[in-house]
Amino acid sequence: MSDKSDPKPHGPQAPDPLAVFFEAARAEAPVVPPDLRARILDSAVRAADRAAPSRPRALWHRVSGWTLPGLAAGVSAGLAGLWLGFVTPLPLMALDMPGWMHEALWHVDVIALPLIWPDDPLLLGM
Amino acid sequence: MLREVSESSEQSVLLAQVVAGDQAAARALTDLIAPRILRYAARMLGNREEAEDVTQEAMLRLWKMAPDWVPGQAAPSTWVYRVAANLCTDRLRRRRPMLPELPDLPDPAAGQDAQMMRAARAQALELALLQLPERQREAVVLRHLEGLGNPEIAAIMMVGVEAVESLTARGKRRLAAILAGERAALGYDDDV
Repeated sequence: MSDKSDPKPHGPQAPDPLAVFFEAARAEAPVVPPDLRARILDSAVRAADRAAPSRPRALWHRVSGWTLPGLAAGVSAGLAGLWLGFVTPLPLMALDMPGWMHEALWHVDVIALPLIWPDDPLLLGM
Repeated sequence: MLREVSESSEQSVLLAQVVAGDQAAARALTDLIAPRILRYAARMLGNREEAEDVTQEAMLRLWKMAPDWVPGQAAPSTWVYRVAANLCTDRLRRRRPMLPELPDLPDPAAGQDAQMMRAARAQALELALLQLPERQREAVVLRHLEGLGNPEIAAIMMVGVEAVESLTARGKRRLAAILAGERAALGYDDDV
């Protein structure tokens, strides 16, 4: 086995004096003793049990992340819509026609127009 | 390269199944990784019991890390090799320096059979490896005995590929020097 990642042949290579030693060492198959294997597998089971979340934790993991903020945002938007629906018409009316204008219109309609009594363009067919 | 990618993704799938509590996946992954880690640790430490402890600890860390494993990164086996390498380094630093002795070698002229000769060569190599500096030993073992590619070794040792090549080459030169006196006794001349 060459030490280079991408070995390129440069003519005849000298035999590796260590090749027979490496070959002999590689021939030994690694064997894990049964008790060590059992301990490793036991630790795998315990680690998996520890990693498995309990039911409340699993539920929390499921609703955490984007789910919970999304739900909260939806509820907030709904409540804000309800609030606006109840509250906004009054201020809008106030903005649309302030109190001084109501009084001015009353004066026009009830006092000024009857005195002048202009012909109504609509009644004249214009 | 494709095989490495495939192996990596297969191991990642098995690891995800272990997290889900699949015991068969745990067995498959253990049988795939643990023997290689045990052999590697034994060669790094020169001590079977310590190697077993390292293997168990490295596999336990794999199970603990499994829920957070991100597929597409290095293979789980590469990660375990790195953990085992660090554990071996810790143990070697705590240990007093020791000078291993080469075993009594069989006499090739006495007609030893090939299997005994091969076992003797393997044992001589194991002992010679223990005389190498730790990083050179790590690189040589991973490259020539575990059969890993240089990029994977670089990931395990957390160095560049060039550094791996350099460490391997230096390690092999020193190994050759250590084993030079034993080659005749180990029947090297019969094979070449």
